[in-house]
Amino acid sequence: MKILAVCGFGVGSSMVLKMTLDKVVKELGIDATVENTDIATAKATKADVYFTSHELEESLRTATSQPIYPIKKYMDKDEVKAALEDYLKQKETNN
Amino acid sequence: MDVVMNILNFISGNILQDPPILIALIAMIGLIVQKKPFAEIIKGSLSAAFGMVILTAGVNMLTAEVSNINTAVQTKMGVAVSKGLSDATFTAKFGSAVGIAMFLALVIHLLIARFTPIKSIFLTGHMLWWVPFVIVAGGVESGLRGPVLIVVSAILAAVYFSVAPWILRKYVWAATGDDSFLIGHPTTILSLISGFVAKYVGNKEHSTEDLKIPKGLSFFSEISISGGLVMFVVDLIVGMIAPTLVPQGGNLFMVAVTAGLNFGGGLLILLYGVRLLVNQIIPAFQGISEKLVPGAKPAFDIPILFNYKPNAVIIGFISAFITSTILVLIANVTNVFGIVLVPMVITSFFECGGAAIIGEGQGGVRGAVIGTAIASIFMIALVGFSGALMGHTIRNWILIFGGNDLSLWAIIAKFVGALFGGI
Repeated sequence: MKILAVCGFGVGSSMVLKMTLDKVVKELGIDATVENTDIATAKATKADVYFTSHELEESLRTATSQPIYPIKKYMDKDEVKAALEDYLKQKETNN
Repeated sequence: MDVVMNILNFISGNILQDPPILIALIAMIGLIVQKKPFAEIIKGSLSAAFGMVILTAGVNMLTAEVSNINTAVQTKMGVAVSKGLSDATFTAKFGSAVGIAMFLALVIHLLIARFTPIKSIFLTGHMLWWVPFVIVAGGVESGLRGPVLIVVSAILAAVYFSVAPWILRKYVWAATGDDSFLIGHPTTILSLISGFVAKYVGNKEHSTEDLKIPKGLSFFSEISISGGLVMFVVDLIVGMIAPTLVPQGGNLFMVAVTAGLNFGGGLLILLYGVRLLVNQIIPAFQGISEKLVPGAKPAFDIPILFNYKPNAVIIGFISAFITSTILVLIANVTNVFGIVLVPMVITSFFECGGAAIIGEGQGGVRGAVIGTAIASIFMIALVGFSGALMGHTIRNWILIFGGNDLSLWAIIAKFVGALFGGI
């Protein structure tokens, strides 16, 4: 499974989000790679699920039909964990 | 013995004189400490080196455009165009001093976090390079050379890495409602001013985030587009005043278009280089710091704040850019600094966007607008003074990226260096 963390420039916040996601992935014990990038590159990059900010959600929505989760606090492990668990649940029901 | 001496000479004379190789070595140490697999160590070190090469290419494109404008204006005014050390030769000559100072500064910075109450860990990757870069330049301007230059620069940079995020922490936490991280970015001085002013003039009742910002303004947040457009306009104006900007047989419109495209393209290249570099260095540095200083607060790049109040960023950019461009025009007409300033797109966006969020946290919409406008007056004063002082080293670089902590610390370094004069 490939998870993509996305921010406007691909340097600051997406990296923080990636670090939080890495911790959550480890905690949940799922097999996933997490990468981070800027919005323009993200639109051309395939992933199973995208994590980004509320303001970029719409822009990303135009480029992919995969699920996108907007995150408010990038450092907040609980918020990120809840979103990722929600995605895993959705995936279960769809299969 | 001779063999050992030769190897040491080769390392100090060649390897350590080369910023990309130095950065690769630092990344490699970080990856080895984290016990990463061999393939990842190779990939990570090389990516960090590529990042440095790409970042430098981007910066060269940006400074070339500003340098053209300055040369044309200086020729028009009959000022001798300065020869000798300049932005390009500075990195070639002192890049290794910057690299070694950076490495020492990181070590001292970790020690400060470990043994003093100031528990910040500076994680804004490209600033780990640029802060020692401006401090070394200030030291060189004051006449420092050799080991003294490196040691003084390393100490100053370490103080900056530790203290700047820490001073700003209350303002950041007030704006985010989250005390889990700090901001490590050259906006510090401007954000402090903005927050201080906003508290007195603002009103927290009205938030920027309740305003409806027209969608059409969102392209401003693409820094490459706003930067390119501004450079195009600046070249048009400068070309009318100083005709030598246009080469023989060329025409001004096309020169301006090319300048704008190069500036925007240079910015994108710079950001790409920063991304490669940061993604290799930062996880490593964070891994080390989590082992050494558990519970320290990480200091991140400014865009992480932008998610909290996106409207404030656009409002702050517009407020700062209008205020500062008027001041740039006044400064150039009166020649108050003795150098030609250019409108400050990058600093108005990143640093003042951050200052606007801090201002909003202290005083709502009015706080954000007025706080940022006042901060941008200081921005022009800082860029003017530091640009005037940095004539032999990084003047063109400062004119693009300064007007913030980087300008301030270049000035501080020059004065501290003068205290050591003659050593």
